[in-house]
Amino acid sequence: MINWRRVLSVMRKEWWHITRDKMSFFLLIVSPMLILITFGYAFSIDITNVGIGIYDQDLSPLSRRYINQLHSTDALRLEAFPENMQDVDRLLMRGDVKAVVIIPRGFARDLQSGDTAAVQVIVDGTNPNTAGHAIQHIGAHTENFAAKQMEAQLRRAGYTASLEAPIDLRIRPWYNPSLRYTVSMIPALVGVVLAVPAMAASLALSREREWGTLEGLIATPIGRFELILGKLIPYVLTGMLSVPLCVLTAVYLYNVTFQGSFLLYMLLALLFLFATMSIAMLISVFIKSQQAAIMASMMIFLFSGFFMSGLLIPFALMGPLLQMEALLLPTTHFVIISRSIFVKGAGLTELRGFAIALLGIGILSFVLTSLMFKKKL
Amino acid sequence: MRDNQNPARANNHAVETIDLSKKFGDFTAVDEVNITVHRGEIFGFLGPNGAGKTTTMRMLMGLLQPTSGSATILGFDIVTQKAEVHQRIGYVSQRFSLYNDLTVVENLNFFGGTYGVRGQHMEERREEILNMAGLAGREEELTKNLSGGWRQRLALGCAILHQPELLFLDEPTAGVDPISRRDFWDLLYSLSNQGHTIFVTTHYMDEAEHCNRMAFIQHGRLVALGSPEQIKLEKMQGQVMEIDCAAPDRAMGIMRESGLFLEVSLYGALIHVVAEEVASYKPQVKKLLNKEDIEVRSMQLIAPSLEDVFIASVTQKPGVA
Amino acid sequence: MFYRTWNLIKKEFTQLFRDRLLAPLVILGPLSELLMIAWSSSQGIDHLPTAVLDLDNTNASRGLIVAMENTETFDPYFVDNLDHVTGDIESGRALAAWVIPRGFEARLLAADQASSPVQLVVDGSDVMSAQTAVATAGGLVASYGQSVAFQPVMAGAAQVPLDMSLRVWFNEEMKESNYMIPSELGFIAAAIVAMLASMAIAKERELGTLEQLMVTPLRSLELVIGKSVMAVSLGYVLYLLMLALVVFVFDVPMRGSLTLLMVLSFLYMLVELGWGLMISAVAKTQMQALLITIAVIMVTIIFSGYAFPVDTMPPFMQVISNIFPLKHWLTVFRGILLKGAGIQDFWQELLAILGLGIIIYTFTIILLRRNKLE
Repeated sequence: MINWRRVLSVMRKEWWHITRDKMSFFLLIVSPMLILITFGYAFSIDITNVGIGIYDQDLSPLSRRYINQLHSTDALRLEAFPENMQDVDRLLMRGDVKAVVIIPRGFARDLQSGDTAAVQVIVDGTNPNTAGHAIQHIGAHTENFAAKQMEAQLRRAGYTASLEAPIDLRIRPWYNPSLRYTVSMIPALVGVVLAVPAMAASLALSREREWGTLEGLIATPIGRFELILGKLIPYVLTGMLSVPLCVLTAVYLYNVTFQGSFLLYMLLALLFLFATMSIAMLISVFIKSQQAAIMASMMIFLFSGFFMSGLLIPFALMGPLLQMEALLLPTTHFVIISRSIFVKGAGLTELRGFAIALLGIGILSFVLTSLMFKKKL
Repeated sequence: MRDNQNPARANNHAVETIDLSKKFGDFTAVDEVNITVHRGEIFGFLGPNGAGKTTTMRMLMGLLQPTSGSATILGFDIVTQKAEVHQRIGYVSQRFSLYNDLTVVENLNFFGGTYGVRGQHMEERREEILNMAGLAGREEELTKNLSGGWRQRLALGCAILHQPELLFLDEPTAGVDPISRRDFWDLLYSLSNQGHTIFVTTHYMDEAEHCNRMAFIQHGRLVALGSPEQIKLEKMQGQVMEIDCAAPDRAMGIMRESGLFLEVSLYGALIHVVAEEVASYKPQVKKLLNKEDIEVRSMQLIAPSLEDVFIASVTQKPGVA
Repeated sequence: MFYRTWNLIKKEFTQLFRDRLLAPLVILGPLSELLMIAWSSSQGIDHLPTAVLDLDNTNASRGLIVAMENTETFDPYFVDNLDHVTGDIESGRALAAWVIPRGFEARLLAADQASSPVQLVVDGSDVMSAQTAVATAGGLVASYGQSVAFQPVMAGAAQVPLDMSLRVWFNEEMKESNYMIPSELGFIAAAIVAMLASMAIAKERELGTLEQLMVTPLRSLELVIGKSVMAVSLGYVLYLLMLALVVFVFDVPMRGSLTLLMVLSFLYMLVELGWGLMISAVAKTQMQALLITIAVIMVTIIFSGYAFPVDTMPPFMQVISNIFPLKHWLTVFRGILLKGAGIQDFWQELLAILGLGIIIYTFTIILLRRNKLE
């Protein structure tokens, strides 16, 4: 039914197109890895060294002890010591510090007399992550300081109870014992970064249309299934070349252990790429110009792949409508596959369902593309 | 748009090159080419693919920087006076380079506008060109829907909107059917009659016969320069005899082995043999071929075609006209 | 000449509108990404399906479970044995699990110093949920523990000596979206402009029409301007649409001067346009232009403070980050939007953007001249 020799000739031509431009080919293979490094880096950064300012209105030995308490770790960095409210205003407006602690006059007196002393923290909410970090650490230190004061008080009143944590929370991670973000994110990202060869694939037919060479192809005896298949395969191969690079990046740059079988990983990556490239070809049939095709494929593979695939927001927490859409996206399935193999060492039995889903999506898109092809000249 | 006031134009040549050369690294694409093109003539630039025709042309149009040598177009230097050159030339490239997603009239408007043709003048020119190209009534068609021959005519139309003094055409009839080719050359003739100078590259020898003057180039070097008649006279050694016989391939082999002729080549199903006093070899030819049971239908002297000349001059030592 | 440039611009827009899909996609793509970002950053990680194995079955354990439910982070359901716990986590049915051992209450109320253990199982392959669960659990356990354990001790004995009052300036609700979305806006408009510009000239080169243009009187400057107008127009329209969406639909505050914002963002867009043109001078095909642009965008993302703050980077990276106009622009943009900042607050960043712009355009012109003449 399918003449493989003709498919091969289409493949050879398409492969020549891909590799002729050395710079493009290089970028095509390497870009996924580059994006992986970028995004991986974003997820691996821990927030430390957040700059804060201290406006000490009390200037007592006790307030200084409190300040020293804040100083003692590298989670926070004492940047500035404003001396009036205008200073505070300017510091926060410029973003030089992310929070200012104001110790009011009478701080030491209140503490020592047993009244409640107050400390004010003004925090820059622009970046909730840094703000939360600042609040958490300032709060922790303050509580610690308060706890020590309270212990002293209780001892004076005759109690010997310590304020150690009464409930001991034992965290037991199922896989990924250190709960590093990278371990969970980077394998998942592999599915997203392979959007780059997919974007190139979506240009395949659009490009011939722009060049005017498409009619020439149609005039030949090559059948439409053969044509689409022949164009599809080189891009799948290109993606396959990137996959080991990405895995190596994950393992050696980000120290993510690879628990499962590499062979299985490559096999399932093949299915994933087949599904992805088929959809890319479908885009290419409908969209006439290269620029427009790039926009469309970016939307589907990059944006949706990143936000809607269960990478960021867990699949279980998405509403049913979004879940249905996510299931149509090959990325969603591969995110689970990649995570499972990397982190849990999963085998074919567990991943069977996803493999079948990818195959199904691929075949469906491929058939649709081939059928729609002639009509959309 | 004829400019008669420029004092720099002491000469009357449309194109004049002096030792024009272009090297790409170690490879010499164009080697000290000296040609002149007179105003109002159709000048053909011939040579096999890779000979340096397109490279020379691109230098003349200011798309490539010469490695050495110089050239002037209508008296303007191609390196230092590009703007003046561009305003006065038109170009039809080998590869179709109009906008496929614009309509016929939109392409005309755009290119005309780039040359500063607008308003009433533009409308008049547009009418003229649509008629000349035979595209009247098809203004709103998308360019990509035109077939090859019509596209070339449109490209030509866009190139002459601003009535350039000099028109460059790079292999304009490549891949075009013979009838369209003939029509196209009719167009070129009428343009020449209107006063345009035409510089055309081609590898079709028969088209070269249409030119007033021409140049042969091979391996970057000029091999012949002049009118077709001049070249045939200068370059042709010997006369040409055309043999019509059966089994031409075998016959050709036999002729070659005989050592009688300077040149033996196949023209379709006919054989051309070249030698001094070639007619005197008729009896020998008949004998040789009949021995091999090859029927000889006719043998006659013919005027050499440019193709004959070219093959002959190429097999000679390369020289400059 | 002005007419030639205008002629080119007319052609560009004709081509743009004839391609019926390009303009809508250019607008729709980034808008959809914005929507996705808004959705995902407002989507709290909560109501995690949580398996609970309560082996103690006392008031204290039940109280803990109630407290757990009240946090809204956990959606508890009960299981009978440990196998169900691990099985549900493994299969993904539960994103977290609590195991409360027998003797929980007893140990909690005992007079000795020993603490009472409780186990939280989390799925390490989904760290987002895991970390959220851990953080919430920590706070929950601390406050619940204290409320139960110290009641007898603390009745009337001492007061909390130190009260920390918190005020949040800018982005008072601490909405993640208020941080992510302006980042996105500042970045996307520039990226789209750069991408369109980079492919614009490359397209003419790829299709062979550039050569035809180069033998006409059209000057390189006119070509650049003509192509830029299209890219910047589309980009700016997109930008305004996104801004409107962000302010009116996503409730991101717009505290500063709108005029100032619109003028400055236009200037910034011109600077990023320079990047696109520089790539365009070099790229031979649209795909090549695209790939190079993506690579440049990736590098920009790392260094410019777009995804995560510059302060958290090692010092040498912080120095390098100053090369990228985006870094300075993000400060300006967020400042105007969230803080109502004015020129006096970020004039240094403006100068930096201007200076970088001049450098980029100089390079572009050099590259264009060099590439047009081989």
